[in-house]
Amino acid sequence: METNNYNTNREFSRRQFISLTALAGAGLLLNPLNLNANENEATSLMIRGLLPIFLLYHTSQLSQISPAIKPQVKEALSFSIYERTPVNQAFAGLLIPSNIKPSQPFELGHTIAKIVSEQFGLLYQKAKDETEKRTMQCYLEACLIRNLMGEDIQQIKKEELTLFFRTMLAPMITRTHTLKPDPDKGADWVVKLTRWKREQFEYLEKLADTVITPNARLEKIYVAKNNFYNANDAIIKALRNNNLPLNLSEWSNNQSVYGKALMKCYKQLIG
Amino acid sequence: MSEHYSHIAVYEDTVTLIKNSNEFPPLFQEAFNKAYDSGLNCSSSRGNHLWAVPILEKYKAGFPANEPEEEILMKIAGALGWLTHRGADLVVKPVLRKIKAAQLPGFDEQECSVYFDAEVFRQVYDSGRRSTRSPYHLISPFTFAKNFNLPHIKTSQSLEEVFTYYWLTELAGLNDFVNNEKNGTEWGKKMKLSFQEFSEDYRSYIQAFTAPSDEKTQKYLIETNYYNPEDILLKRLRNSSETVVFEADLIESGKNGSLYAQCVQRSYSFVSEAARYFTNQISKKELYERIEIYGDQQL
Repeated sequence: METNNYNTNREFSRRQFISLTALAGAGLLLNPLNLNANENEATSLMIRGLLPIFLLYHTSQLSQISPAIKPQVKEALSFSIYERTPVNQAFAGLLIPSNIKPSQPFELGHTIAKIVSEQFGLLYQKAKDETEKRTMQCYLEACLIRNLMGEDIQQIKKEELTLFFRTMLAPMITRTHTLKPDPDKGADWVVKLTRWKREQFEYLEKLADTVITPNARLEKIYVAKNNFYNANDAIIKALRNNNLPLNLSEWSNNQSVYGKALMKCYKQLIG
Repeated sequence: MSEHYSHIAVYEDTVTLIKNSNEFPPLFQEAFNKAYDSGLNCSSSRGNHLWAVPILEKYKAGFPANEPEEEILMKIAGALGWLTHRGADLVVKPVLRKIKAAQLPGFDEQECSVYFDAEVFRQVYDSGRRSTRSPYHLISPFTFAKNFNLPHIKTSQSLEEVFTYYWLTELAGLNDFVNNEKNGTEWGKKMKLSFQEFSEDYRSYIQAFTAPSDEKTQKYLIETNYYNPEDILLKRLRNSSETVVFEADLIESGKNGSLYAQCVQRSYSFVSEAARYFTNQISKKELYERIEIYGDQQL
């Protein structure tokens, strides 16, 4: 019986990996981001969850279709869940606290995390408490998922989407081989991991529900009134069409908060 | 053996034996009842030689007043889950090393582990019709399916990419240094050591289940005698109910069974030794030796 050989990981040499990782970092030092010198509370707010992930994901996709980015940097930023890629380290950069200067290869992630804080911090500050913040987060993330899925939304029920989301977690862990505990605080890590997984499982159901059947009133408050996402934004259309003109002025017209944030991320790449 | 599904299955079967026994401290049973998922998480994680015994040592004497009981139970369950990981590894790794040493073209130990996982998915999880006993760790018929059995959802791969990286980042964020290390260079060094990579291609798992090679099935599953559903211990486990008691000689019979049965028996014996230590029947040094942690690795 013919089978595919999925042994590509072993052919990606350590030397290639290190050099590509450095390129991913170096590519983003071309135009260091200079945010507000006086960081206020909104811009120093660390925003986690799917929002920064989507921004980094879309930035990576833009890098692949951009004529302005060198092949080596494209390769360094390419996505794959089937093998080790340097872009993995960019995600770690999302976690750097805002008051720490990052070292390579975490520059890209750190830059994007700061853009997220700057662009979305004020939105999050409108929430009156943690519960509302979490609800807002859910609506914003659901909006991004819905736009990623496009017409597929019509093909899947809420329960199926919940099952799909939850089912993906075990394969994700499998891809890492085995999880590494905190090297210094393994016992505390047990507690953190347990709590995180329990919260995540509950959240995934809420997220799937919001993707498929959002509450119209909350959708208006958190997404529409905040002008969070506009599918007609030039940069979002460019992503969807896989077509990125070289002339920035052709596609710099972005109205939504997300479109503007994505444009900012892309400008960091091209300098 | 360091593959996910095999380890969690061994944990689950080991806990089934333990739950139906009166030989374990009430605290262990309580940990499994209230923090079963903590044990399951650790059963498929690294670090058993570092963390299992120190956790048991700390709480053997009692619960510190400043620590919530719920968290202590999570840590104890985690320690016991880690011991099952060790038990399974010690059975299977020598077999995998032999496959590696043989260097037969087209065969390797990593792929063998993948076939082990696919077999566990078939036998223990009934090809996805049965999930784990934890509500926070789902196995479904989607788990080993191409496109998660959603071929009509064209964006399923994109969704999987986004969520996979999301969780990868979230898990990295659980490390204490992420928020507490103030030096950027040190932060970077620690993150490079901690950050996980995708070293496994999940497509190979799906293929091992949906389209296994006859040749590889022979080499990896039959010649190694990985899982024999006729092993009496495994038959009883697959047909067990909550009230079934497993006799000591039945559990012991696992030693002479298929590799998977040996994994369960060994893991059970390691948790038994932990119970003896916890109730002061053996010393810490004796525990280390009985779970085969020697010399410098003892803490």
